[in-house]
Amino acid sequence: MKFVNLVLLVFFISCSSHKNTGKIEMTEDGNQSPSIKFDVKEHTLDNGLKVFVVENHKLPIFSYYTFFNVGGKHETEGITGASHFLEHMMFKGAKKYGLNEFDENVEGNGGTNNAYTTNDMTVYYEKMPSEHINLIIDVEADRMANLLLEPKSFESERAVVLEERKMRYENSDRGKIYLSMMKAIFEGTPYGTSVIGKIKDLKTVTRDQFFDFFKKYYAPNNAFIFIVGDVDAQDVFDEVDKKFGEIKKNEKLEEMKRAAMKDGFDWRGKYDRTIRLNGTSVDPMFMLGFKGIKTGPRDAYVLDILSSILGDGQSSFLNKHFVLGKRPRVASIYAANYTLMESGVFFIGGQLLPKVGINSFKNELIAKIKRTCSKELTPRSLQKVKNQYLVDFFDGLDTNDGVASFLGNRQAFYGDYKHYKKEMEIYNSITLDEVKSACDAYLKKENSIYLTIWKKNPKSKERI
Amino acid sequence: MKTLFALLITFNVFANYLDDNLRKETWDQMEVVWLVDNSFPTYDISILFEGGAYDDPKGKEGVTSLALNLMNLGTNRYDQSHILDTLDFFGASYGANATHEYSTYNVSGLVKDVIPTMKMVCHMFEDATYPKKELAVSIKRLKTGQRKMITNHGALASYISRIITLRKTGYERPASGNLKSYDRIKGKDLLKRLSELNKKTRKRIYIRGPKELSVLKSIFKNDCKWSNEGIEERSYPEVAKGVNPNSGGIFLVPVKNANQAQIRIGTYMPKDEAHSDYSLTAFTSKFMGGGFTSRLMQALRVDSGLTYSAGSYASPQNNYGRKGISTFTKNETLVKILKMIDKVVADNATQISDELLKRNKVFVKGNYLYELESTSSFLSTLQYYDTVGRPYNEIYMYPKNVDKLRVDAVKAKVKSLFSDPDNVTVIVGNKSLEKDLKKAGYKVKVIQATDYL
Repeated sequence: MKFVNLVLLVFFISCSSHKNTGKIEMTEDGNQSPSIKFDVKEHTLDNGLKVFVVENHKLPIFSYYTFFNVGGKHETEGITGASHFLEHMMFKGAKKYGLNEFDENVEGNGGTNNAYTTNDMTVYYEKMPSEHINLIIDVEADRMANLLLEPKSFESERAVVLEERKMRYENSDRGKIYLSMMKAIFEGTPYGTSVIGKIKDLKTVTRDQFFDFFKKYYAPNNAFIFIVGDVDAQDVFDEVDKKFGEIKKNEKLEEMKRAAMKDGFDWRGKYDRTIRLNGTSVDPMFMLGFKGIKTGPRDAYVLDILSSILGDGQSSFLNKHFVLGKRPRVASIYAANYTLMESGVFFIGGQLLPKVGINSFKNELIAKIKRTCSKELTPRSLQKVKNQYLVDFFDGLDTNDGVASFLGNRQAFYGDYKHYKKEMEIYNSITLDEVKSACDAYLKKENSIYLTIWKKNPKSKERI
Repeated sequence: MKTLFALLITFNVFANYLDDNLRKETWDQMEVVWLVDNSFPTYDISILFEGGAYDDPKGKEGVTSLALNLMNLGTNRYDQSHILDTLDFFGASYGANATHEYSTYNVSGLVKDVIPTMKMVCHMFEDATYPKKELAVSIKRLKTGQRKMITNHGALASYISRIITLRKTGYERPASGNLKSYDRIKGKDLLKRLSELNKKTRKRIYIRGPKELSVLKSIFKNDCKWSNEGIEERSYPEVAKGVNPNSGGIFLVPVKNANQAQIRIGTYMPKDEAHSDYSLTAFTSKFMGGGFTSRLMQALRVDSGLTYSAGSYASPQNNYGRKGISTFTKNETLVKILKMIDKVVADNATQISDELLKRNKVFVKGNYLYELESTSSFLSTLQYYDTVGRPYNEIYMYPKNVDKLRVDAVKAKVKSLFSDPDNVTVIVGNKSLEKDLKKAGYKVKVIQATDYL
């Protein structure tokens, strides 16, 4: 029986949001692989700016993503947190669209917007009704070319960033232990400074330093745009040419990046040690971080699978042993393989149950990982993870936003949005022996740092 | 208006397609809402039980939630390990959510594996045993997780605020349970509750996925053995005004070493308030704290840098609702931000320009559309409308209703939603804030987080 008033239906026409619907196909080796195609049109300006468009005319809206290849790793001493702080200032006005006009123009025309910053990149995104595509192109070009960094709002936003830091890290044991783990694992490398930045730097960084940072990295040849939705690709390319075409590229971009990351990404930390942090947790939280690997090489995919086998889902090896086993030791446990553009970290975290010794658990955990990798891994545990990845693959692809983010991230990390086609092939081709080898090669005690946080750990003068 | 016009044009083009794809069926007297979607080889299934945590026995809060979430501890046929491994192998996501008035059990995964997945889910519903040893481990784990809340000041503030603002309404007890109730809940309590949900509670089914999912009809009938036949509707008490002894109070929850105060200001809405002027209420909540250009964000973040985030909400349930404001600030500016919140509310209760209202209408309508863009989100919206007893056509009518709103109505709504004399303020932060608040003339009561966990 059909029951819905027809006029209601306008709101979910996105259920057919993409012309090329997803399927699962059997591969030659018997594995299952997702099959989905996106009709991506691309265009590169003379100044190096790349633009990608996926037309989807089902709803009169679009999503607009701008990826800048700048993040925490490009910051030098004294300006830690600059990428993230600058992300905030990008909403504070430019020459044509002045103070606070960015949000007014987006939200006042029925849109939403936000941004995020990582160690590697800064990403801005908007969702808008389709008739405002030219407005967004204009607004985005204006802030790339002529950011104001207006002094009063600079100071006001400094206070906002400090509040964000308190909220995410200083008043959260979970935030504190994560920040400390990243700092320790990547010590001495450009990833060793947090994206949020040091308090001292956030309080003292000047507007001039920001201008310098902005001019270096917010250049068209250090960015690309991904647009998905009800737009005409050729019209978009014409308008982008018109609005962004005059913005000059940074001829010395690569040289500047090399200078900022001159220390390189070789491991320089002190490993095989324990860090105790004072917090408020009644029961200790822990993290065990290992030197990992950057995005791209086959081992990065192998470690993804290893992290899922060990700590993804209730039937993962670590959950079954330490949470659900005969002698439960933790309330929760997880594993993650965090691959960055230049390096990576593999970490296991969770929360101990009362009266479980911090040090004895560390030894048990490392022993369990070794035992799992050498004796317990089975073809079924590997296939289970591949099945889970197949489900995850389709997640979020029913919105313009999801598609723009999905393709844009592949463009950012692999330099090729089409990389998604290879991903499942790679995962499907990984063997149990490869997983075991990666476990032996990467999850070594001598390459790890163990961190705990709870209220009984001694107070330290060192601030996160 | 251009946007709305474009939407209507688009609707005409796709109406026939959609008419064929959103269905309502009846399977063994259970209503089935099915969004037929061939876009991806995945599915979402949500089983809604018209029974919630309100029915949890006193002192055993959390029974409904645990009865559903801990079915996977074991059955007479399979142990926990087998169940978890089977469902994870199919890549299925599954779990329950219990509110006071209803509960849902949600399953997602690949269409090709829906039969074995749902057969296992039904088997758990039919045969769960909550084995003693596994249950004890889970309870211990839940207690550790509950104690951990002390390290998440925002979550702690929201949790305690809910309890305090709903005191004496009957809806204040935590649906997920607390440290004391976890110790009292036994396997037999869970078996009893699961049996009630299986056999004595009306159900509705929500599905997103392709036509192949019609196989679910026989699975629900033969494996879950579900039918609504002979089951009466469950209704819960309506909340009236003026029952909360905490009305108007300010409560400080001290936490160690905090250099930031989490603030929650709000109260409950009686049923009649929660359901009157639905579009006006929803719009006004967004107008005050729903985006970067909202009144609270402009005043507290953009203009003064006092906080990173400020939001407001006005959310109806079936028999009550909640309304309020949430934000945070550094210790030194707590009093300043409290006064500024009062001022922002007072200012907007007395003066809103036509231009401001017009711009916010455009924002709210646009934002509303994006919230419904995903088919899964749309299905959740339909489910929410069913749980609060509102007709689906209001989903479509909302943008039109927003267009009709006038300044005076919005001003009055700002006042009634956010300047309610019954508002309770909960602050989670450093103990020293008590002195600051008292010095500024606030009558503050210090309460301990451990009494609420």
